[in-house]
Formats: sequence, structure tokens, C-alpha cells
Amino acid sequence: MNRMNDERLEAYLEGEIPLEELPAALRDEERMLSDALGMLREDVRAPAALKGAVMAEIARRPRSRLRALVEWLVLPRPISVSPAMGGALAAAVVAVLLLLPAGEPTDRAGEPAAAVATPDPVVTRFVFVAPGASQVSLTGDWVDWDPDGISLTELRGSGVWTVDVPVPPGVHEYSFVVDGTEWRPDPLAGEPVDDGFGRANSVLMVAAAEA
Amino acid sequence: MQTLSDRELVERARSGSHDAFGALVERYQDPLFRYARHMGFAEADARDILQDAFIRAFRHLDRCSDPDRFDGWLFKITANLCRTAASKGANRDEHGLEEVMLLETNPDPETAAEASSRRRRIRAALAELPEDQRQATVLFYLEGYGVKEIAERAEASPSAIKMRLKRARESLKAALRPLEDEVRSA
Repeated sequence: MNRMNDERLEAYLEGEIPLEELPAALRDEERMLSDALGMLREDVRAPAALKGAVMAEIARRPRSRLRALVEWLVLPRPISVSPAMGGALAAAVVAVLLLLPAGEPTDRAGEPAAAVATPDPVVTRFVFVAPGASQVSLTGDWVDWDPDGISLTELRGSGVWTVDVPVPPGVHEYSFVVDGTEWRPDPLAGEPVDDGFGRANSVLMVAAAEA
Repeated sequence: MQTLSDRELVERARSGSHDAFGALVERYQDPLFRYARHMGFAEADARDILQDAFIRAFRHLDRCSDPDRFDGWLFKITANLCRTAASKGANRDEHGLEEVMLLETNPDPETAAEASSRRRRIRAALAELPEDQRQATVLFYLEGYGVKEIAERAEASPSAIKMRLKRARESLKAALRPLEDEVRSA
């Protein structure tokens, strides 16, 4: 395709010019493709039973009260609360809720949950290289994917960002957020995993500290 | 409930309102179901994909960082599930069964058979495209989205989407030209 045709085609794809303004050969091709693909177009509606099935499953396994409460605290709301304060409040509520009767369904309904000693968090250092970034934060499952996350500090304008964070023992998924919008896995960690929501997360294994 | 914005519904659903989430399901189930069908999935598979997508979305509403763009977030979940299902070889042959059922109920079986044959070949040409090109093609030619909207949904730049569409056009032209010639000579 010559350069001019290529530019016209791009303008058409962008919606800047109508089909009629394409050169004749391109116009014919485009009509052929539109007609052919149009044969696959279906004006279908979702099956009537779909919504019922979704709602039944949701009702069967509702979101936990703990998660809803943590979200209520950490998600953006009209009132002004600094991320640090939000995180502190969330941590406080989590600590309080851990002392309350379990809100999650258990396999042994009606039986009180056995008291389990929660292992102490382990301070873990995270390092991320992002030259030119104006802010980098860390988020992960142990902070319920709070998009404000935990702020990293840049080492003297070097583009190297770091933070030491207490992380509960266990296997965690995490990600860095550059300039508040760009989610990036940790290149210093192993192979990232697909989170099923269009993002790749890094995996971190934290062993419990020895007593 | 249907008059509320996505943001209001998401916030109510986060607070535990199933009715609010039900309103979101009603709002987006038809376009997403159509997308899954256009991506080549049989009705039963498309239904399963959507059911899974809505349940995942509900369970992970906290990950929807911008409730005003809930539709784009939900689309990404659905598109990822479509990709996963396709990689597992979700039964595209079901389309063949559906075509047979259409033929059986059509009053003009000869014409219907020709149209059915064409659709199968067009569907096969579409299925041969790499997944990212197929998605761009479906969204542009079948769903009627513009390049910028596709770019947002596919998390790619408009330039990348245009390139995918141009490459897809070349492949589809080569695959569909003989079909077009057959129709002309008939």
C-alpha cells in the first residue's frame, strides 16, 4: 500500500473521514470486509437466566463483612483523609475485627473458631527502579490492593525507589504503581502471575520470623 | 436503581447492596454477551464466561480503581476470561451445531445453507487471526467501536490498534477474497 493510501486508511479507521472519501480500491476492500464480517453480527441478548445465576451465586457466598469494612475505610470517598491516615485506620479496624467473632462462613457452622496465634509481620525491603517517576507506591493483597498503597522513597534522585514494609508471613501477590496509574510487576521478583483482571502481579513468599 | 451512575452502583455494591450489583449486571450483560459471541464462543460458553466475569467482578470490586469506568474494567475481566477459554480450546464446533439448527428451521434451506457456509468460512478466517487482532476487528467491525475506545478497552495505544486493524485487514482480505469471487461468479 502506498503512503497516501495508508494515511487515508488510518484517517478512516480513526473516524476522521467517511468511507466515501477512501480511494476506490480501498473503499471496495473495506465494503467487502464490512459486508463479510457483518454476516457474523448478532443482535443477541444475554440469556434470561444469566442474571439469576449470578445473583444466586453472590447470595450464596456474599462478600465478607471484613472486606466491606476495610474497603469502606481505604477506598476514595468524598471526605479528605490522607493515605497514611486511611492505612492506619484500616490497620486499626483489621486489628479490632480480628478480635470479633468470625464474619466469614466456616465449614463447621456454629462452632467457634479456634484461637490462632497470628504470626508477626516481617519487615521486607522493596526496591523498584523508575527513573523519571514522580511517585511510586506498593500495593498488594495484604493491604487489600489499596491503590494508594505504600509510598516508596527515591534515593537522592537516582530513580531507585525503596521502602521497608511489615508484611504478614505467607504467599502474597503485589505490584508497584508508578505515578498513580501505571501498575507494574517487580522485575526483581520471579515470573509474574496473571491476576485474571488484565494485570501481572509479582509473587512474594514471606517466612515467619523465628521466635 | 437503573438511573444511578456506575459509580453510585459500584459504591452501593461495595457496601453490600446486591440490588446495586444486579443493576450493573442488567446494564452490561447484553453488550458483553454479544462480545463473547462475536469472539467465537457458543452460547453456553459465552454464558459461562459472563457468569464467571460478573462473579469475579463482585468479589473483587475493591480492585476497580475508577468506578466511573466500571464498564472498561468489567470488559477487561471478560476479555481475559475469553482469552483463557480460547486457550483451553472452548468448543467452537458448537457454532456448527447452531448453524445446523438454523438450517433445520429455515423455510428456504438452500439459501440458508449458502449463507451458513459463508458464515462458517468468515468465522474461520476471523478465528485464524492472532487474539489481539481478532479483538480489535470484532470491536471495530462488529461492535462499532472507534479506535480510541478500543484502545482504552484493550489497554493499548490508538496507533497499536490501527496497526492491529491493518494487519487483520490484510489477513482477512487474503482469506475472504476467494469467497467474494465465488459469490460474484455464482
